[in-house]
Amino acid sequence: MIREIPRVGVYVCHCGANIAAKVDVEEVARFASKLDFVESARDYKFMCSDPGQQLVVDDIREKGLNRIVVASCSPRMHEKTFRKACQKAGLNPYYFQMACIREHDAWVTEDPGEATDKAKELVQGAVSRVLHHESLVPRTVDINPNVLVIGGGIAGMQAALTIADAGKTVYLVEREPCIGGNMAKFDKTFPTLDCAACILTPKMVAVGQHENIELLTYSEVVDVEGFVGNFKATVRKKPRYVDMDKCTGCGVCNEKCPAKAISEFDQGLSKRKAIYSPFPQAVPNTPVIDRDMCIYFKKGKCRACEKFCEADAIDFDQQEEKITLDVGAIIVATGFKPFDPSVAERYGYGKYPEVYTSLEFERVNNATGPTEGQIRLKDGRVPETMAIIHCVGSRDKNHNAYCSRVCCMYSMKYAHLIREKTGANVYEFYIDIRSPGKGYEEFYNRVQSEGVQFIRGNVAGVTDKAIGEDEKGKLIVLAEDSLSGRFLRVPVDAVVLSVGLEAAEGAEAVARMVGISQDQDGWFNELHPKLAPQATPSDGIFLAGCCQGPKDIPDTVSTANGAAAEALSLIMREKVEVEAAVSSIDAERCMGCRQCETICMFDAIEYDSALNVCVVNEAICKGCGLCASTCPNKAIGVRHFGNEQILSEMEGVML
Amino acid sequence: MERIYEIQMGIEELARRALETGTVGGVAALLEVPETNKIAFTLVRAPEDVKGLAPFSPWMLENAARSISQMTREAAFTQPVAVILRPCELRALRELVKLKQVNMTNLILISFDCPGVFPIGSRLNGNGDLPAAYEKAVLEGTNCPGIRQVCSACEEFVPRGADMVISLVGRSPTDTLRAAFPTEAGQKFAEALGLLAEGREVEAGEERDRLAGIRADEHNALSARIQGSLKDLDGLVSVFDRCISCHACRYVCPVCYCKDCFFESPAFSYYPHSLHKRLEQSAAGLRLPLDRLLFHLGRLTHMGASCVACGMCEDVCVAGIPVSQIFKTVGGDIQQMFDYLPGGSPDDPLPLLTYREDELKEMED
Repeated sequence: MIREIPRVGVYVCHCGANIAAKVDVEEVARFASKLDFVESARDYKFMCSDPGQQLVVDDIREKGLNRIVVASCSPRMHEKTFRKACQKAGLNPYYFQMACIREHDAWVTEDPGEATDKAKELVQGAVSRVLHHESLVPRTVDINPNVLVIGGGIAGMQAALTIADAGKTVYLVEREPCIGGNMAKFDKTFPTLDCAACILTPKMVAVGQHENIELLTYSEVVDVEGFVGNFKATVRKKPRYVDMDKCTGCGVCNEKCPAKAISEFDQGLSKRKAIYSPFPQAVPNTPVIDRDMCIYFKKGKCRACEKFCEADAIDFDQQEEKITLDVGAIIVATGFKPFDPSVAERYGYGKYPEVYTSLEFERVNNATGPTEGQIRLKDGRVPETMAIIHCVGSRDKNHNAYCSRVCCMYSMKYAHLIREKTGANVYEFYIDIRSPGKGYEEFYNRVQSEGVQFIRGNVAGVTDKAIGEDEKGKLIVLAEDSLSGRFLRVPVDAVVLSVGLEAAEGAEAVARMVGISQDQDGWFNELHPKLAPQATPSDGIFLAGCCQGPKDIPDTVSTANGAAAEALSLIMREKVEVEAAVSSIDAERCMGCRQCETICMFDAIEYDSALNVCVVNEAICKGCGLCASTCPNKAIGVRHFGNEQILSEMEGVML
Repeated sequence: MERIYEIQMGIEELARRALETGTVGGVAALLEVPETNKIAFTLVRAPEDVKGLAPFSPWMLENAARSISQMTREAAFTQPVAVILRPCELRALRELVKLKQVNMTNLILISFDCPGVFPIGSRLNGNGDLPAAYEKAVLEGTNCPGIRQVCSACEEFVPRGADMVISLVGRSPTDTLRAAFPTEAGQKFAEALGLLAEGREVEAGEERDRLAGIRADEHNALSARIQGSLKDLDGLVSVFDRCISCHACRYVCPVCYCKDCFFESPAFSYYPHSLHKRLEQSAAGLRLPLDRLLFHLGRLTHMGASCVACGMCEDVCVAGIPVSQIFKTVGGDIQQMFDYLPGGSPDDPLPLLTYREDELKEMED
């Protein structure tokens, strides 16, 4: 439907030499000037520059143009720029169309003649399309000023504190009984060797006491509905069986509990009780009862904790609870899990007791850990030699092809601690040492000077099959020293496997819940890896910390503050404009078959049972078009991407 | 093994008793009026009107799933209605349930193993007498010559999901009924009418198996024939070249449920300048109307996974395109690809709405 006589302006951008070196831009402009309804066509060095944009503004005003085509880079780069220019000149921004002659043409076409032809076709497509554009008006919706943070590790805690300090309410949801995440399990932190607890505990306490933070531990977000500025999150609060208001955290229950279980926090290296706090400085310090291990829950008798609890805080009748939270932005900070080396059998993990994962070794080193911080073999002896194997599960196409970034540094931290605490010989088997960070390379030099032996080579395996006398009773690390080309057998007392990082358990469910995607390795995808590293394609959902890829603590804290800043920037706006190019359903044609409702991944379609038709919630719709292509009746159209518009563009390109 | 009962009554009597006892408020089935030589799918409400009920008559003037959809889409029946359907009608009905075009509430589904139907034209032009050859074929469990091509190659002629399944193959339409009641609703229906108490259990005949064997062979032959004629673009163009774009096939299709067909929308009306441009580029000129092949490909995409191969589309094609055989063959391939039987299990989700990470590996490079 062409309502007014279109007067199209076409602007062909040189993009310096990016386009002009391949495409004859003047020829393309000449060609465009002869197309139907084209009033003016010209080429210019940099259309995105101020004078370039001013050309468009002036032409709209002076020549009465009512449709604009800019042939330049990808719309991802500058569509918004030129839409704004149109708006500035009083033209509805949706009367603009971009032809991508840089990424789709100049950069990928060898022959200049072909590149020029292709540019003409793309311009012709854009001109035919823009004739059928309609004026659209974006809508605005109010933003709820509260923020939900999913995950109470260092990333989630930092993000929550930054937002709470700005005076906004934060709901921090953590599925474990307490906050702190993986960092709470660490002993020292590289490269400064300050103790993790010393820097983390104050943060945990700050989170626990902050008046703007509502802490929901032992809780999981199970559903997220809504859209940017207006999310509704459902949180499942698991029963602790201990009343948080009454409990004083005295620890008597823990002392008296007769049931023992394996401590997850200590990586299975020690025992805990059925009623427990994961570690002494836990926030909150209210213990939980492990229902599966509790004698009362299993056999109906005991209740020792209840008898000894002076605060009368034990409540065996506590039930699971579901609450809903209204928030405007969500920060996902679900972190990582360590790679499980038992699937890589050659390292002997699970087979030989003296093979440790790095996280287990953190606990061994920690003063509150199973050995109270002393490095001891399982039989109590002090090790004389130890091996640390890098890249376990990382840079290995059998497991994860990526580098986990932190293992080199924490491995060298272990080497230092072993040397310091036991004087044992330490062998580091590495592929490459990666130490890019403030003070990291210096730490590498320091550890080298402490007598740690670095052997460059991939480890073929760990065995207890001794050949010589010197190997008896030892674990032998089999490796190739790729610098000398020799094959080595290194007998050691214990082995630490520097396992890589993987996306946390349940990351997939979280991704589906909040409508974001994962990369091939399971890490969450950011909107742009360089320019929008904390945002996601789902408006109002931000990423912090290791859930988007392995990070050390400084980077985790930075990204957490980045995500917090983005969330704050969003909620401080108070109102948000929602995209106008969304789908709509023609109730006259809709047969109520609800296929669109099933296929929509944003839950943007609802069924109106009174009228037996489906309805689009325009605030949630992203305009992806899945529903429109699913609807056999074509009762659904996507504004700005209607059949007429797309078919005209295709005709313009192909005819 | 399902239990088959011999019931001492014919279909008219069954319907009368169901209405008289108030077990159902209506019976929907083919009804013949011999005096006027008319036959139509009819909803009967009064016991005295059941005369002429002829659900086994070998004609299908429309796939009755369409009528049931029209009657129940917006509002379910408020009292039980027994509907007597052929297996392909029943599958279309069950497919339409998934597409929210049928409300099954209060429907009692009666079906029978189907010997096939004749093309509509033979009824409209003939006198409506049942050919003797048909009765013989039903009795023996063979294909009667002259039935729809897709019927003679139909391997889904035994109904799935019906509350009452009448054994027709191996019997004469005038015989008393033999039937099974595989569902809970079917059992209740039988009890309410006293069918089980009066009936006696009988063995299934071997005629059904014989027919199944013949149909399987016919199916293979039909698929090979169609695949041969469609094997490349030229084949595709030449087969659909005869199409006159009347779109009758889509009007009679039980699963084509759209209010207005997309292919009749303005999206397919061309702007004059676009036609002129096409003319400029084509040495041979343009054949009009455009998009004949596109229409069929579009319908194959929309309906292929849900096609129940009832044969209506081919029956109404004045251009003589083997539409139904094509849909049965191509649709069958699509259904096999997704391991999906349209109108089969109500638990199977529509394949095009279901994301599975591990499917269609053979399509990857």
